[in-house]
Amino acid sequence: MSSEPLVLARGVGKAYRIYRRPEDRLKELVLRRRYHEDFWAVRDVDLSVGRGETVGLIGRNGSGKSTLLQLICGTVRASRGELEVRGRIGALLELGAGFNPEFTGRENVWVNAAVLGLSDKEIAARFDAIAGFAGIGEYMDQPVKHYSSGMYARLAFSVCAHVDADILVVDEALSVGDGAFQQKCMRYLHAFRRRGALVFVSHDLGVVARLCDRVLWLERGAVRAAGPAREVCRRYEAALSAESTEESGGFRIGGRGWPEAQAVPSGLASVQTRAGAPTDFDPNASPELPEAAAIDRIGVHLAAGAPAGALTGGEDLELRIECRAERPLTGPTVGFMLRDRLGQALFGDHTDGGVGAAPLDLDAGQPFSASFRFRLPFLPTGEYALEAAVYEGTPERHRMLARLRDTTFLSVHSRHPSHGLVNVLMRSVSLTVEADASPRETAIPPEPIPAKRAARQP
Amino acid sequence: MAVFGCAWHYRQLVARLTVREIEARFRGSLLGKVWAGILPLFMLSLYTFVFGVLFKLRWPGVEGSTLQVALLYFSGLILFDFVLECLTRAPALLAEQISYVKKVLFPLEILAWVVIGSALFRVLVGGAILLVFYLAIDGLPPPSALAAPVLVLPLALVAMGFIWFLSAIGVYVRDFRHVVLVLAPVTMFLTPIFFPLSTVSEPLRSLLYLNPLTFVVESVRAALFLGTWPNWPALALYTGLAWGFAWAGRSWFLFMRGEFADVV
Repeated sequence: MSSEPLVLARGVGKAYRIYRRPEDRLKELVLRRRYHEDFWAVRDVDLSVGRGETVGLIGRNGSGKSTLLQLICGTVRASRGELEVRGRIGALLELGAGFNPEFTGRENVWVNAAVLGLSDKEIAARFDAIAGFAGIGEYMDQPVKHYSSGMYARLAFSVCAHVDADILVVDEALSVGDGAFQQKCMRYLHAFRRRGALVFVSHDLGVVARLCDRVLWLERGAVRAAGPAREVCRRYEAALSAESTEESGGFRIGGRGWPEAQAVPSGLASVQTRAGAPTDFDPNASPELPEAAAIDRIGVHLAAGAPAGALTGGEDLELRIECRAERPLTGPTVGFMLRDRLGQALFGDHTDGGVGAAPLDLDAGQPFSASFRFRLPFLPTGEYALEAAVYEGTPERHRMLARLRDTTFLSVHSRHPSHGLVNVLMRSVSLTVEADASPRETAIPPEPIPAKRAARQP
Repeated sequence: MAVFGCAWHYRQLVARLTVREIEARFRGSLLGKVWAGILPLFMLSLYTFVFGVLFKLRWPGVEGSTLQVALLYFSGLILFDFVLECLTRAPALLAEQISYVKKVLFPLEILAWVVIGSALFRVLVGGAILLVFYLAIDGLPPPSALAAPVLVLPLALVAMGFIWFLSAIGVYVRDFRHVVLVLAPVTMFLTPIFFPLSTVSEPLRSLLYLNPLTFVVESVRAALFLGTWPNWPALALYTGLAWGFAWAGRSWFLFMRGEFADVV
């Protein structure tokens, strides 16, 4: 959008002076003699972030990511190079964004917002929005030292989101906080990056690749690679896996191998809905066009009809979305989407076309519901959010009438050994010592396969 | 004007932090803000009892009751207490605010104003108690009493300078909090709180003027109790020096500031 970069760094470097004793620092200042050794945490970094741009920083621990963020925020002064920053910076460095632990949440909001340049009047006008976004209720009047790390992050993020920052600097702050809040944050970040400059640090390459336009890969303080997000992430990932192979000496056949009993766990994944709350209606996550239709409830059950709490791995689920027409509707469509903790859409479906019947015509006040039966894939451990929406119109041109999100979650505890995005139902797994006449293998339910046949599979 | 620049820009924040600081001191106590008044009242009665009743000390040149003499002590003590409060807070000021030093771009120099603000609040409470007793015993103070608040301001400038100096050094070495505690009683007796300066013989008398408290304590007492207006040229000189000292303290603070985040 704007040609003028909001963050512009040319050859920026930061050397930490390492002293053996704290007073040496003062001695050096007064006596003008060198008492330190330099440690370059960041070296010769060039960076330019404009409005509407998102830049990710990746690299291993200690590679200088956080120092670079601190330099941008101005809490640490560059030892070398030029750094220009234009506009208001919202910073989420590690946890807490500079809260005073003795102050209450309310006091910290006031102080933080004032430091960022808001007047008392502006803060007063936004306070309710900040408190609402954070959603920590009466904890607002407790000293933040009593907060859990999740509440801390909620409040910090909430302040940052309401100060009209031009530049937002986020350092792994989203890894705490529950599913609903993370969804909210990701939605905010996606909206923010259209109008401001976002600098984002994460070890989660999936998020970085999705969220960022460009990525800077730092290694020992210097830029190892910079460029389009996906490309740099891929190279970084390749370097990481090459390294870990070197370190572990590769995977060896024979020797210890996989412990027989644990080669593949028997139950593949267990699925649970969050105890007690899978179908609770959260008034905070209100539908966006409340006049036309309303979604009352999202229910998840075993397809057999048993309550959702008794789910086991790989079972068929029934998802029921109960809605109500607030005005007469012609041919509404109901859809759902399952998202991971970062807001990435995993899968979903809608009733349009798939139903095959004539469009439903509804009177005002008439309830209707959609049902989806599916087999849950083997997802990695984590919380997943179910989002439901009601549309009206043709598949080509439609309008959203209602949406409900952040109310229903699936909590998956995968027992798969892999951390991949999805896992599959393993038909069989075997480990064979070729010289041995009697192959040992482990077959897994639900379809045990005779040992000899399994061993001969290519 | 540089001394005030930043504080004016952040005046709402300074005011909020100061109020918060004053409230925090009494938060959780049963009597709450009553303590703000109890402490100076206790101090006043203690000195009345010890110096007036036990020692039967008299103030040279003042004919008055025991309580009147105690008020003379009290006026000096309020000012000494003000400076002492600032000096004891300063060395640990930044170490207590690590998150403001490291995590956000906080205008750290305004913390000195917060300390001054909450210390001035104590002067205000002490002054109010002094006034009440004054009115009860002697009736209306002389018009020169109006100069007393004016005299406190240059002293506050000196205290500002000290806070900036000590808080910046306190980041690097932790010794100064002990130094302040050691020097506090010495300073108390080297300040004309319990005696008028006129009873001290030269050259010691001139030496005592090196103590920035001496001039202010003497002038405030003269203005309140003797009806003497301050020596204006001397006050102007004092204010000029105090201003210079505060400015130097702030410059020192800003010079060191860049490294705070690396050190704390």
